[in-house]
Amino acid sequence: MLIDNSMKVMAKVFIRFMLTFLLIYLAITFFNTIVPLFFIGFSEFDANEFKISATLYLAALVYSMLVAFAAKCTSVYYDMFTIFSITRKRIMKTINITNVILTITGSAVLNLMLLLHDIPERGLFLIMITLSIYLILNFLNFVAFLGKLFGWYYVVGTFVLMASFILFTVNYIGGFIQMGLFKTEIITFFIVAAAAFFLINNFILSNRYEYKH
Amino acid sequence: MNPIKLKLSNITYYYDNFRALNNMSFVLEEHQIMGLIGRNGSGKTTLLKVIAHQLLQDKGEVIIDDENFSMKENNQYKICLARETLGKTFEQTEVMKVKMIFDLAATLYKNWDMNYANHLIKRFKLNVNKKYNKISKGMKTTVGIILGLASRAEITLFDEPYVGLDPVSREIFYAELQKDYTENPRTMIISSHLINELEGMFERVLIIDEGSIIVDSHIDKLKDRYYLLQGRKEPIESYNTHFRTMNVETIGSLASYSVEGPLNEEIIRRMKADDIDISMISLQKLLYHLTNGGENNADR
Repeated sequence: MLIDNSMKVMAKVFIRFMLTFLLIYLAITFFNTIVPLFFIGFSEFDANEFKISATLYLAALVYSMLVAFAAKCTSVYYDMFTIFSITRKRIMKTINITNVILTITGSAVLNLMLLLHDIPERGLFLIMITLSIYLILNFLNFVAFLGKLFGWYYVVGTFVLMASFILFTVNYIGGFIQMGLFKTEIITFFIVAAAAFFLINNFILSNRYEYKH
Repeated sequence: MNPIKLKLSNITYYYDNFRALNNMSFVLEEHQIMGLIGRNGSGKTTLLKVIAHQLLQDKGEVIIDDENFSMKENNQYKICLARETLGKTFEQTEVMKVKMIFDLAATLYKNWDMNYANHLIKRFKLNVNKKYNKISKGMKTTVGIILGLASRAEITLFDEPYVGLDPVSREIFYAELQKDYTENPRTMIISSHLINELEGMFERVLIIDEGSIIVDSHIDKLKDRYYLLQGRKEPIESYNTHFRTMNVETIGSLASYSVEGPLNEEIIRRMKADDIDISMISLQKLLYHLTNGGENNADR
């Protein structure tokens, strides 16, 4: 059964989580788009500019929200489900389903916003964004699992070392996507890497490691 | 005999190199209350956590309704472990109000009774609008008790369900536990140090020490095995080939013997004729003697 009580709980905590982000988003959008009008005059209001700014902030919101929630899924919500004696297999299934739902909705929101921009090969962009979100979610699940296994200080230390590599990779991959280079290789990388993290995460959780942190 | 609800076979659990549970096996029937008794550090909480799937055992199996619990994906919502804390997730989350916890539990447990939960909230005078990490220790225990009772989980586990509770709240808990168990029978394990307050509720008793089971018995069978003999020392001593002395307390010529039998009806009749008073040894005393709390007393 895909949607069961664990998924309903995940949906509830996600909605609470999303509302917090939404408030932050509204506050940022208000201060960056409406507040300046108090100083320069409301006659300067440009609906098109407002639309672009609002969608840009929304894109940032969606991405940061997905990232934070993926990390929380495997740390806070894992513990929460454990307290209620949910089996590890079911927890992992709930996290996996959540990842798929977040990827689809996140990609849909981001691609809808990109409709405001003129992008060549929109279909390819859709596939790449979808795969990259799924990869990021699984990667963050993995990092959170490491944090729970070995302690957060260990993970932060490792992550700092990895950060430069990640930024370097993201920078180049982003550049390649923009330039339309190495399409097949990039898509293959996204699929293989996401599948690898998916399998590792499921393997970690199916074993009797104790999550002390 | 009711069908077997819970079966533990050869459960072993290590905290690093320390063996907390040592090859533990027992079965628990459906609709039975078992008392889990042991000294501090004997492995009670670890055992409950293993049953509740909060810890994964190194060896052995936890079988519920003839199925290996840890291998099942959907075999869930059957267990509720009520403790004095819900763990660091709830302790450290600043925004988690008590009512949110009950809301999540209501979503997860298919038999959750919200009306009963509200009734308990009123009885315990629990403020559900407070954040979980801001309420007192006693109130956290109350949250655990309400989760345990209102979840109506098929297997309900209470781990020392009195920590931080005042005497009035303890009495409310005992009364609600008995009432709810009568109306909604289910399988329960209650670990406790306050043995005298709870022993009347137990149908089975599991006494553990240093991660091993030392007594696993129906409460009625304990009465036929362990006795408290009181009277003059000489007549009691004359029967000492019929029992094993665990402890002796003497006041003048009178003595109180804690012994392990069984004693047959003929011996009991003869003892009574010799003015020896025979009664059941309390669980608290039994724990004391079996865990070597009174190891030197038998020599006096």
